[in-house]
Amino acid sequence: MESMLLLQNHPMLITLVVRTIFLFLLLSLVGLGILILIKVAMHLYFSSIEKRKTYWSSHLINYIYYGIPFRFHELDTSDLIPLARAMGEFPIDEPLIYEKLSTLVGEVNLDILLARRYRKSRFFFRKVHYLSTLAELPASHIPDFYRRIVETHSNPLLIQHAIYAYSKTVQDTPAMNRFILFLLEYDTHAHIGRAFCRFLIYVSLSRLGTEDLERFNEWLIQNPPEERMLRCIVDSYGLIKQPIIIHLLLELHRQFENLEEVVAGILRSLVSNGAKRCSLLQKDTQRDELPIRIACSKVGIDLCYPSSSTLRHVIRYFFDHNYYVRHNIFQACKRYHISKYEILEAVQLEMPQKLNDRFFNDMMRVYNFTR
Amino acid sequence: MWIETIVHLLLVTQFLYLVNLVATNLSSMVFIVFALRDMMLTYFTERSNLIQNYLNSQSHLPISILVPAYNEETTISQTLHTLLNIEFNEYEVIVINDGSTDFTLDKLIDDFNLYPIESPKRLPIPHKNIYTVYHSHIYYNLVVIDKENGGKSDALNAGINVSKYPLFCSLDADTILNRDSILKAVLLFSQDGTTIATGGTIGILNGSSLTPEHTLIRRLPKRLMEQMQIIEYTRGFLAGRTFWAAINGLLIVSGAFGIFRKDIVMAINGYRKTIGEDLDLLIRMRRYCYEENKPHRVSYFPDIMSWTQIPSDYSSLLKQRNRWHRGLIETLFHNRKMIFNPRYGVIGLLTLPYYLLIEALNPLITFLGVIAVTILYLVGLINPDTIVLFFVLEFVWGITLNILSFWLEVFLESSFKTTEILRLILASILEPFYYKPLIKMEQLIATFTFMNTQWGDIRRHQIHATKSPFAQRG
Repeated sequence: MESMLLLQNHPMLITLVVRTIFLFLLLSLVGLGILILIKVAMHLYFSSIEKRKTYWSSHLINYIYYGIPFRFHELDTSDLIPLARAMGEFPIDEPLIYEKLSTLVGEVNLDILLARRYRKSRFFFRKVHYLSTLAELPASHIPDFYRRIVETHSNPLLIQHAIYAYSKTVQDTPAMNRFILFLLEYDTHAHIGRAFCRFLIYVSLSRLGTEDLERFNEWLIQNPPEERMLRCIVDSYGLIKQPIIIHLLLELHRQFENLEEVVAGILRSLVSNGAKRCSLLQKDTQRDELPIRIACSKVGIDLCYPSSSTLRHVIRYFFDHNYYVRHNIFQACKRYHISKYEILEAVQLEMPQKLNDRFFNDMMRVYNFTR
Repeated sequence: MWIETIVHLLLVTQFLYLVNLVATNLSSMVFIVFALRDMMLTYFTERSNLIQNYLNSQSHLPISILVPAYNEETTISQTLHTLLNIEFNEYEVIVINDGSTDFTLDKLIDDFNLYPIESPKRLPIPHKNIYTVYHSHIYYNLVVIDKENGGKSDALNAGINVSKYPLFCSLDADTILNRDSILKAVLLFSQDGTTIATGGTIGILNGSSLTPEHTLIRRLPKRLMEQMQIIEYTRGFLAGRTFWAAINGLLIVSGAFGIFRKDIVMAINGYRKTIGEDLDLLIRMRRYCYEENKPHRVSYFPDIMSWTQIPSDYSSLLKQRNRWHRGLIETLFHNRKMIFNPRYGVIGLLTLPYYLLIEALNPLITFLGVIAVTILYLVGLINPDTIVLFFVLEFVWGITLNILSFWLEVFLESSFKTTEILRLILASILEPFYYKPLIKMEQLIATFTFMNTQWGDIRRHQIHATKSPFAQRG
């Protein structure tokens, strides 16, 4: 105890601590000043980038929409970032725009030059700045560069941008296959969320033409990835609006009909592509797996052309013991303005013995007002 | 003999106080440096088109926004108008009128043209009786639940039962969201499939104004105690939570803005009736994941995601802090088997011990420490230099930490004007002498009354509406 007291009352130690804390105070004030200056400098820097970006945006519009040749001679090294950011403002899923911008990126070597700057920069934040700029590019030709970043860094924000940039390097089927394999490998230790995975696959798939999509589908059938990834791929098919997609989804349905979650995803994607396949619905409504029942009850009516017989295909879902299945089918009926009377008529015709079903009557009691 | 024992006790107490003081201040410094790094990282990447393209792709997760409201007639409409205009494709807003005794429900019915609906509901989480569910003729995604009063946690449980999406966001009725905050938070869930909850920094609404386009213009509140709360929010909440999230040890997602995975919340039977329901929920969620061996993560977005009103009078402020401290102690007591338990990873070995030793017991240690130091000085066992040491550690280091918190303020999305920052610096110098002891005293009272489950009212004000800058030009 005495030694504690001695140590605590030691004048040298007290002076040292007091001085250290005053030094902290001084440093915090100096640091605040420096940070304000850095913030102002950064603000000026980003404002100048915005100005140049506006300038290059107008050139890109002329180049893409009016075919006016791109002014390479005006481009200097300080324009790399504004040009990349201007390119990032164009939609990512328009094939014609993508093609032109992709060519331009290749001609200017924009991605290679920015990647070189990334490698040369010593400060972490500058690296982040260059990488987020690279992620803006509509197309890039350096997949290995992004791959290495994902493999060597642990910061989630950095990885997020690197994977996003990687998804934009896909230009043909082999690249797409490699990207899927990479995602699979990355997912095993990092658990990508399903929605982000679907988004990344959608970004990469939207770059492929009809033939490449067909080839990718064949590869998928021959080398089926694990079910989780397959679901993401099938879901992202639903986001791509190309006529070939319906054909590809039907093919996947034939091949993977034993994977219930995948089949449910295929049904949803078919509907979001506007497909009308009543025969497929008839077949799937015979199945008892919950994911399929939920999907069929939700989008089943959309798979058929509206007619008085449509309800017949989905009639069993009105009595399903699962609440969500019943909820979905009544919601679908509401979407199509099918009245209470029509539902009762269909039930009376198809399954009269179920008219007194408790679940059905519970839902029917409030049907007109259900959400 | 007994005099010697008392002196020993006093010496141990003042030494504990010294250690606690150094540990508290050092940890705050570490938190601020960590937070600065994350905020700068966000600053450099926020201009990327990733978030906008993600929104456009329509592949994000849908979300239910739950707004429990008890006597919120002054602020509820304004909050809902901003919520119904956020940048997101698929979401629903569920307001839970928790048996308000004022005109909250009538105001909602009038302002949003509500009509009653009858719909069967699954009620897996128990809560007080729901009287009526309303939908709006104006907004298809607005649902209002009128229920018997049961407290905030009960109202949130009712909202979870009625919600239909896999994620839910709990908001206070006086919280105003930034247009893209839900999108940024949901992206965190999407990017990492193991994320079970996420939160963001809460900005202070007092003094600020809203344009007719529901854009917020941030201004410094006039009252000194409100300015001091701004400093405290940045130093204590932003910095600390960013650090804990970085090491996956975050335990608090503010009740004013937090997004949670519904399946995990349902698995633990929703919110528990307690005064610190936000802290309690996340601790139980993490406990469940550890016990079920589920990989999980709680993320934090360091930029301002939402805005909320802070107490503008002393009575409300002290009631709030008293409630927070009681909530902390009660939750720690409820989950005491997790503390120092290696089975619960970072939480058991680092976060919970920190909350126990540095946060929960700090007011008591400080109080006893000050008494011990005073007595020891009076009996001549410690010299005046040691008093200077304690003064410097408590006050000068406190001021230093407040100034360090401005480092973060500089990089927040909407910073104050230069004159306002100068006024804040002045407030930060006064804070350790005036505001901090006041809060510590209230926390000390709370330490001895933590069994009390009373909430206490906080007075709310309508947010001052300003003219749109665009309207002025026109």
